Amino acid sequence: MQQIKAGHNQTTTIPTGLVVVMLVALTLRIGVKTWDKNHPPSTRSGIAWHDINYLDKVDASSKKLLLIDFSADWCRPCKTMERTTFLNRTVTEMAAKDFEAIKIIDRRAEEDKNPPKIADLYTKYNLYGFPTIVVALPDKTYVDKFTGAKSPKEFSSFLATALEKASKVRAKEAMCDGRFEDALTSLGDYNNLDFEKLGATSISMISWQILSSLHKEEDAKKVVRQAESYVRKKTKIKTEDEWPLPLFRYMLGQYSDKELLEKAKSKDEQTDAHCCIGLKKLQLGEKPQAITNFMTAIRTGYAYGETYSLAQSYLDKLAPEESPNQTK
Amino acid sequence: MEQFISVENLVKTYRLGKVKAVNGASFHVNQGEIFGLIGPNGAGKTTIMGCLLALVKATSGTVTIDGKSPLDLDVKRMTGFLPERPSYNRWMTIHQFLSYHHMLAEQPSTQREGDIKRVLSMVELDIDPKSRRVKELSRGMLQRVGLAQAFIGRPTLCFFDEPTSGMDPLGFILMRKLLKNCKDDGITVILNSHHLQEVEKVCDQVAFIRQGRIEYQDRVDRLSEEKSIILMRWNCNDDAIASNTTMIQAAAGRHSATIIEVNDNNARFTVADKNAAAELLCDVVASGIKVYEMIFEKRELVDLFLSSGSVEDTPSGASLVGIEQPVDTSHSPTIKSSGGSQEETHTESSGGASS
Amino acid sequence: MNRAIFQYSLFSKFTSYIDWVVLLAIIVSPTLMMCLVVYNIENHEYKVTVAKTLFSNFSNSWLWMLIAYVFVSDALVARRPVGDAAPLCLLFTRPIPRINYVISKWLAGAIGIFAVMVPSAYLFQIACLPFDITTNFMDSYMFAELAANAVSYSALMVFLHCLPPGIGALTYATMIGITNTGNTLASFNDKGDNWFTHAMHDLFVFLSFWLGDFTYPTIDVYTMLTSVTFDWHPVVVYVSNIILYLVLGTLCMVHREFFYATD
Repeated sequence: MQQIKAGHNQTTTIPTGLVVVMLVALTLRIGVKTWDKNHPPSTRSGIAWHDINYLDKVDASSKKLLLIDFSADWCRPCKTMERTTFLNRTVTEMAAKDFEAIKIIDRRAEEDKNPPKIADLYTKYNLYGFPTIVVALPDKTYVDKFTGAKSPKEFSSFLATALEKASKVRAKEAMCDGRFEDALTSLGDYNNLDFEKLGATSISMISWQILSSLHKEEDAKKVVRQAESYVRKKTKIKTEDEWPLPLFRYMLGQYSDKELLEKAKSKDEQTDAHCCIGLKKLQLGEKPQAITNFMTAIRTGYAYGETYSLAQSYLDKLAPEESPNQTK
Repeated sequence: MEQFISVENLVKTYRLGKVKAVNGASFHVNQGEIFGLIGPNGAGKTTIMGCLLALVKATSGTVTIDGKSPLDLDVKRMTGFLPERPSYNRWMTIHQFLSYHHMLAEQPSTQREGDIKRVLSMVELDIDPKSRRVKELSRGMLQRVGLAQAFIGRPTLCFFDEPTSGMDPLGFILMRKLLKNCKDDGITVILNSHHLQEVEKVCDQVAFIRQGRIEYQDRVDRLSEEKSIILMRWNCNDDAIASNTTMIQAAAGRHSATIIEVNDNNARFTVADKNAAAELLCDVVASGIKVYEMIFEKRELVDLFLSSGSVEDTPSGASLVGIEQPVDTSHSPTIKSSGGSQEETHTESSGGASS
Repeated sequence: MNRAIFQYSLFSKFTSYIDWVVLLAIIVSPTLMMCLVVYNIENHEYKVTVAKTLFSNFSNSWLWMLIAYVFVSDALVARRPVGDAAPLCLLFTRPIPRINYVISKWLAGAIGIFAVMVPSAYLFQIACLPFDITTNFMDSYMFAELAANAVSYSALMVFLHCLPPGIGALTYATMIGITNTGNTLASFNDKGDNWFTHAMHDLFVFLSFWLGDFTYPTIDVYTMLTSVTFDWHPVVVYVSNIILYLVLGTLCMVHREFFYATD
C-alpha cells in the first residue's frame, strides 16, 4: 500500500499565506473595533463642540450662528454622523467659520428626565428624534433644522442653506421690529435673491414688505416679478389662478383683498393670503386690521410654514398677548 | 503489473453514521484495465466512484490513484468523467460546452477546434455543434456529448457512470468500440453499469457490490471458467420417458454429477469439471439416449445479481435452482446480442455430443 | 485564477440574446425609474431630491447583490435559481484548485458588477440633464466607490454561492436579520421590562456590533477621503471582509461534497 503524498498540489489546498493574511486581518478588525468601542467617535469629532452652558455665553449680536446637535449616547445614527459627517473637511471648515457648535446629549434614558434647560430647548425647537441638528440665530431664534443622519454632502448643503435662511430670518426679525434699514442690510443684495434656497413666496413677501416700507415701491415690485418668473420657470403653471401667482399679483397691486382670498383654496394658501394682506395693512398703517389678518393666518395654517412663522413673528411684536404659544 | 488504483477499507457514511453507503470496500485496478463496478441500485457503486473522483469524502479508508491522492491535480489532469445524470450547462451550445471543458482540462487553445472535431467524431455525433444547444438533445445524444466531454482532455483514466443508459443499440455498439479503443490506448477505465453483458464483454475485472461491500471480485475470464452446470437435451418418444429418466439418474450417479432437475427431454446437472462432464456425456450417449445438445450454463453476472446472499457461502446449485425462471426471461436479449463465449460453449459441447 | 472559469462567468456563459437583454435592462432600470418619477414632479427642488434619492440606490445592497448573482451564479443563463451541484461535480473532476474557482468567480463578479454599474450610473447622470438636474453624481469619489463596492459585493456573493444550495440564501437572510434587528434595537433605548427582553436586546446589539458589518460590505470612499482624520476602521473592516469571504468560500468548497448521490 503506497503512502499518499499530501502535497501542495491538491485541489483542496488553501495557500498558507492567504490563511495568515486572513488571521491578521481578523485580528486587526477585532482590535480596531475594540478600540473604537472604547473611544467614542465624539471624542474625535472634527467640530469643536461646546456644552449647553455655552448657550448663555454666546453674544447675541455675534455674526456666527448656533449649530445645536441634539443626540444621545445610545443613538447609532448620531455616532455614524460623528464618524463620517462631523469629520468631513468641508463640514468642519464651515462649522468653524460660521457657527458656534453646541452638543446636547439626551439624558432621559439614563436619568429618566433631562435638566430643565435641555427640556426647554426641546420645547422651543419641537424635537421629536435623534439626531436633530438645529441652526439658530445667536439669540436662539429658530432658523432651520433636520432630524436623522445626513451624509457630508447633504450636511454641508444644509449648512449653506441655513446660512442663507439666517439672513432671511434676521431680516424678518428686524422687519417685525420696524427696523427696516437693518432688515434691508440683512437681506443683502435683494436683486439677486436665492429663491431656491429661501422659498420664493416668503422671501418675496418679506422683501416686498421691507422695500415698500422704505418707499422703494419699484424695487419691491421688481423683486416680486423676479420671484414670479422664478416660479414660472421651475414649476409647470397650468392656469393663471394657480398658487402662488395670485399672491404675486396682489403684491403688484393687480388684485384686491377680496380677489386674493377668492383665489386661495387650501388652508396653506389662505394662510399665505391672510399673511400677505396683513403685511399690506401694515404698509397702509391699519394695525388692528393687520393683527386680525395675522391671527386668521395662524388659525387656518399649519405651524412651521414660512408664512405662518412670518405672521407669528409679527403677532409676537404687535400683540404678544394674542400670539399663540409657538410650541404645542 | 503495479496497482494503479488502490482502494482500502473504504467507508462512507451519511447522516452521522446512520446510513452506510460504502462499508469497507477494498479493491485494486491495474493500469490499462477496464474495471466494472456492478451491483443493484443503492449498493454504493456511485458513492465509490465519487470517492475515486474525490467529489465525496470517504469517512475512513484510503484511495490512491497512481500513488497519489485522488485530490491531486495530476490525477485530475488524467481524469475524464461521464456522470450518470447528464445535468450539464444546458443553455450552451455543444461547441461552447466542449470548448469550456477543453479549457478547464488545460488543453492548449491552438488544438481546441481540432480536439472538438476529434471527440465528436469519436462519439459519432453528427450534428452541428455550434447551432445545437445541450438542452435540445435527446438522452442518448446527451450521453454522447457527455462522452465527448470525458475524452476532450485526453484522459488516461476514465470514469463512466452508466454510459449506455438512454442509448439505442447503435449507442451500445459505439460504447463497446470506445471501450475497446480505451483498452488499445492503455486508458484505465472504471465502468459502472447495469448492463451486465456489456460489462462481461469488455471488462477485465469486475467487482460486485451489495450493501456497500464488495461481495465478489475477479477477472471476467475466470468467471466463465467456473462452468459447472450443464444442460443436456435429447430426442425422446413419449413411451421412453420413464426409462430415460432412470438411465440419466444412473449415469449421473456413476460420474458423481448432481442432478438439479430432470424433465421429459432435458436435464440439468452440476459437474465437477469438464472431464466429468465429458464422461457423463459419453455414458449417457452409450445408454442409448439420443443427445443432440449439451450446453455449459455459464455462471452469469446475472446470477450474482439475483443470488440472495453471498456467492461464496451459498451452494451455487441451490441458488441456481431458485433463479431458474427469472434467468430464462432475462436471457433472451443476452443470447441475441452476444456472440463470443456463449457460442464457443455451444460449439464445444455440441462437438462433445457428436464425438 | 482559472481563465476558463473567469471567462465563462464574465461573458461566455451568456449565450442567448435574452441574457444580454436582461443585463441591459438592469443597466437601464435606475435611469428609467428616475425618468418616470421625475417626469411627473413639477417642483424642481423636489425633482433634485428624488433624483438624489434614486441615485443613492447605487449604494443599495440589493442592486449590488442582484448583479453579483447574475455573474457569480448561473441563475440567469439557466433561467432558474440554480443550486448547481451537478455542473460543479463535473467541474471539479478537472484540474482546478478550489481556491482558483473562488478567486476566478470573485474577479469575474467584481468586473461584471463594475461593467454594469458604471454605464448605469453615467446613463443616470446623462438622463438628468433634460430635467435640468445638474447635480454631479459621478465624481471621482463615486467612481472609486463603485469599483470598491463591486469588489466587496462580488466576494460576498461568491461566499454565499459556495455554500450548499439554499443554505447561501438562508445564511444571508439570517445575517440581514441579525444586523437589522441589532441596529434597530440599538436605536431603541427601551430594553423591555423583564430579564428575557433585556438579554435578547443585549444579545442582538452584541451580535450586530461584532458581526453586523459582514452583511453590507460597502465602503464610503467619499467620507473616508474627505475626513479630517483618516479613520482606519472602515478600511480594516472592508479588507478583512473580502479576505474572509474568499477564505470561507474556499473552505466551504473544500468541505462540500458534489456528487449527485448525496443530494
